[in-house]
Amino acid sequence: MTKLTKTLKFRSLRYINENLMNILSPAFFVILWELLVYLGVLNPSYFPPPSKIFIRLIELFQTGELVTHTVATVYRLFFAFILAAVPGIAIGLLMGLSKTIRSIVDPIIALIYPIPKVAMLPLFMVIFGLGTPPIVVTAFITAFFIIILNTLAGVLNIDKVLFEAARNYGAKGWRLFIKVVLPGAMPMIFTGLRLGLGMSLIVVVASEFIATQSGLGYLIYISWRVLRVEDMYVGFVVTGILGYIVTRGLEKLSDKLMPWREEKVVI
Amino acid sequence: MKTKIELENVSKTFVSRTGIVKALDNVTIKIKDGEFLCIIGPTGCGKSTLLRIIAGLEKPDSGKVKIEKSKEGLPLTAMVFQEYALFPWRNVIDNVAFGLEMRGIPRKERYKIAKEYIEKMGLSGFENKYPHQLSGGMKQRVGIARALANNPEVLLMDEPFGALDAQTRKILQEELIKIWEELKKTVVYVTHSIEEAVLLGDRVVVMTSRPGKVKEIFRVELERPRAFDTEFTALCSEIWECLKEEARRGMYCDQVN
Repeated sequence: MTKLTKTLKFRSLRYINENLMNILSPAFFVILWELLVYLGVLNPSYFPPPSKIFIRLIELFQTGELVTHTVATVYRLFFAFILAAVPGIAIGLLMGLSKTIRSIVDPIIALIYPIPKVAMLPLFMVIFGLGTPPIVVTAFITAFFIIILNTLAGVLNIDKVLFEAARNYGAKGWRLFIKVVLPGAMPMIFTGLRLGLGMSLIVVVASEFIATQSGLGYLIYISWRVLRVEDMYVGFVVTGILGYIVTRGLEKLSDKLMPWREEKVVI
Repeated sequence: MKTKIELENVSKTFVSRTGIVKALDNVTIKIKDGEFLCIIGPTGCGKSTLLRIIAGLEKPDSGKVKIEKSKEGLPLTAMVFQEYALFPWRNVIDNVAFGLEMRGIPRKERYKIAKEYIEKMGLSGFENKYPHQLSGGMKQRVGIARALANNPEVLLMDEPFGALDAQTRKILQEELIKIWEELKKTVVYVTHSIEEAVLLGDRVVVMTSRPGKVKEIFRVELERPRAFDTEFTALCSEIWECLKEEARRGMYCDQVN
């Protein structure tokens, strides 16, 4: 075997190893957990064995309860996210393009942004009553500011020399916007969307603790009230999977829209 | 030969938070049609500002800039930047075709023109690569192809090879001269390298340290392709004598850009 093919073989082996590890390490973790429960190291009232959680997951799925809760959470999440993304990107772009708009909107954002939005949930419950509306509004506000600020940063961070080149080559007005500003800001827009979506999921689940009687947050919370710890873990697992799917989906979309990007983002 | 670019008493002052900087002071240069003019000067002498004024990216406070049109509808200038300034989200062919696209030329036609210059710049096979996949030398080839594909009246180059390694720079200098001889474009080329200016230029304009003024204009009578012979070296040292004092003064000025 030549040195080159040896190296190549070694590399592909390492690649396989990495993929294998991605499956093996969580599997190892689950098995260890299971073992530690049976060995009496972990207290099953707090840390039920994964097998039991899995069985409970299947049960809750079969009764249809789990599907109802998941659908409720997904619905709220997407509703809030779309509500935040469209105007958030638009306002961020406008702020990036116009100093005047920036100077008007900036102080308002500076005031509201640092408040943990979930603290506003009680206010929205006063205004909208219980149920989906206050949850959606709280999650919307959370994502909204994150998306505005990241979009704004995206526009402001476009290399000045690219604007010079664009102007020198005759780009102006609408064309400049579509062909330079938008693609230039795109990576940061997607960062904002990803962060906004992640934070929205947190806020939706947290709000479901008290504002409603459906959703994964409600499932987790009610499991505490009736002390069904397995159900709580089912809530964690499904929320985790949901978070993983939506962020990965967004990542895939950004890879598709931006094949030119140098490096993939980690989180 | 007729005049292509006429700069008459061009002055420019920048006002910033830190103070007022006079970048250009009564610069008058006549550039002939098809001429390769090099502008050399110390750091912060306003040579880039002058180029940007010719490009219309900056307005002079006073004075006149006139570019003679040869044909209606052609863009006046196309700039090649030291930082390449390629659009990272566009592949090579779309970068080269950018100016044509902005002028509303349909895709099929602009790709045909872009391909022609991609080939000319030795970029065939790289049409679908993105800028981050290219080396510095290849990036600047794309930068030059983008400028030429736009078919400007005047080609403006702002230290285009300044960020490249010595060998790559030499290769691109040779290619540039070949293409210039073929296309007969008027070129205004800003550099800080005396050797580069003498290697490329028909004339070399030496500018003073801030405020930038024309100190002296040297004519380079050497046959092309030029070699580093005694005549070449003699001219270089002559220009250096002229530039030395300015460069020394320039060091003590703070940077403009």
